[in-house]
Amino acid sequence: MTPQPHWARGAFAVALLFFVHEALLRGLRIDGVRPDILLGAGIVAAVVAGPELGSVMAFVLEVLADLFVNTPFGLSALAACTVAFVAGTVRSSLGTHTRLAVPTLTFLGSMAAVLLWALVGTVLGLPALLHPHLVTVALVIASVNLAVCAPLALLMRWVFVPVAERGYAT
Amino acid sequence: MAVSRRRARPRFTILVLVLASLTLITLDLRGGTSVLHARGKARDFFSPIQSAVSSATHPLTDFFHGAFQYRQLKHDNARLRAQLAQLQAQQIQQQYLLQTNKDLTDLLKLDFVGDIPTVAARVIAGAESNFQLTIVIDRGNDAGVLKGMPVVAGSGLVGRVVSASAHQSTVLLLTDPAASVGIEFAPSNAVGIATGQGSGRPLGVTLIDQTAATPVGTVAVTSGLAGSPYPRGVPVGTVVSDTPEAGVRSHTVTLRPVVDLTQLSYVDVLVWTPQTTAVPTPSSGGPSSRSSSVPSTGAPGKPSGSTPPASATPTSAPAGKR
Repeated sequence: MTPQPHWARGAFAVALLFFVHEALLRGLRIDGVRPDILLGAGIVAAVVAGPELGSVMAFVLEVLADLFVNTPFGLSALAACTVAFVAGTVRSSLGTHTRLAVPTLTFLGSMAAVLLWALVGTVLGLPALLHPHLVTVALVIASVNLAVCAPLALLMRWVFVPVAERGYAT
Repeated sequence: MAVSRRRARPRFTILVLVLASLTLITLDLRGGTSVLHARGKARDFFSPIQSAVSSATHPLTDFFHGAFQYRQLKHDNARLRAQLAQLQAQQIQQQYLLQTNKDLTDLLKLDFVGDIPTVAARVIAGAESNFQLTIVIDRGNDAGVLKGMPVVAGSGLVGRVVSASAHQSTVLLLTDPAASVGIEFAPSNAVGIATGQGSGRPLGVTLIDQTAATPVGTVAVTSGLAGSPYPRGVPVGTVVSDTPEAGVRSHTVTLRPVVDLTQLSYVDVLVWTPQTTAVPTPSSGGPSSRSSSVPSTGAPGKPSGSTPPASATPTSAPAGKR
């Protein structure tokens, strides 16, 4: 059974995540890198609810995030929804009994999204993105998203998966 | 049939999302005002919440910052102790250096910089993106801050405003790889372009005359050539290395910014826009070609003679000296 979104819960989750990211975690820097839990949330949504709903969630969250940075508008959304779609597709192909799907795909997906962002940004003419520091940025963002993937998964299951089906998204 | 339709739907969705993203990127890169407008509105709407939460969670943020930066703090502590000892030794020379500084500043004729009104602003956030070296300040269009205006702090240049909403502005720091500034070196008048190379790294300098002498310790100031986004004479950095290149008559020069861009709390925005009109010749009694960027106290797009914003506080001293 395909997970069904609960739109009111979805809007609440988006608002909550956005508040946490832009207000609570705004000043947090780890080795000079700002965590990006919105990216992690999009990927977790794809793993929990499938590629279609996950990529939409990732797109919405990162479009909101793009409003507060001066990099090309939509670039983060492009990277996030693409990676979320891939993560959701991979998760769907793995079957139902893969408890490590959420942390593994969140970690790898976050790294892939950061690298994809930098690659597309370079193609668009942003300077000095493909720098050794990029690895640090990707690792920090992926590690933080790995650390918070469990509560994010709970949140996304609450938003997307009907009560009767909650055993599915592990 | 139903199965193939179910499989095709996610692909159609991702295709739509990718196309939507590419459309947004294209609109932004082509300078679409709707994107700027949306960003400005979003920041203005959310800035009170950010400020309130930031104030409330500051101790927690500091705790995490300290925890994650323990090694760096230890290193900084040792470095600061060494610097303290060095500064004590240098204290004796301070009076002499102050006098020298005053004399050199007089020589540079920075007087017109002192007429530029400034808007004092508080730094309310660091870089919003991991890929741009920016700061967010708590003054925007309402205070007279506009995109493109130079930003200074303490002893020199910080960067320039790259976006401004009603209540906030984002400042691109000098050290960002996308930032570049025309400079000249005080004693030799050699001119060049300083470009950011990333956080914690010195600015790289491309000299117009590759044979010009730029000894270590030389101060570089903004050249203010016609069309430059910065007024002339604002200190940018001091030469930290001048390495001759093997086999050619050129050298690689790097600058350390005079302002510590990692420790900014308050900055001044210069209410100044470049003037790109024809430069009067020295024989006509006008300013020299080097000082063709005559400061404008009005906002761009406004008629000349418009009064500066109420919150703009004119300064009597050159911005770089404050």
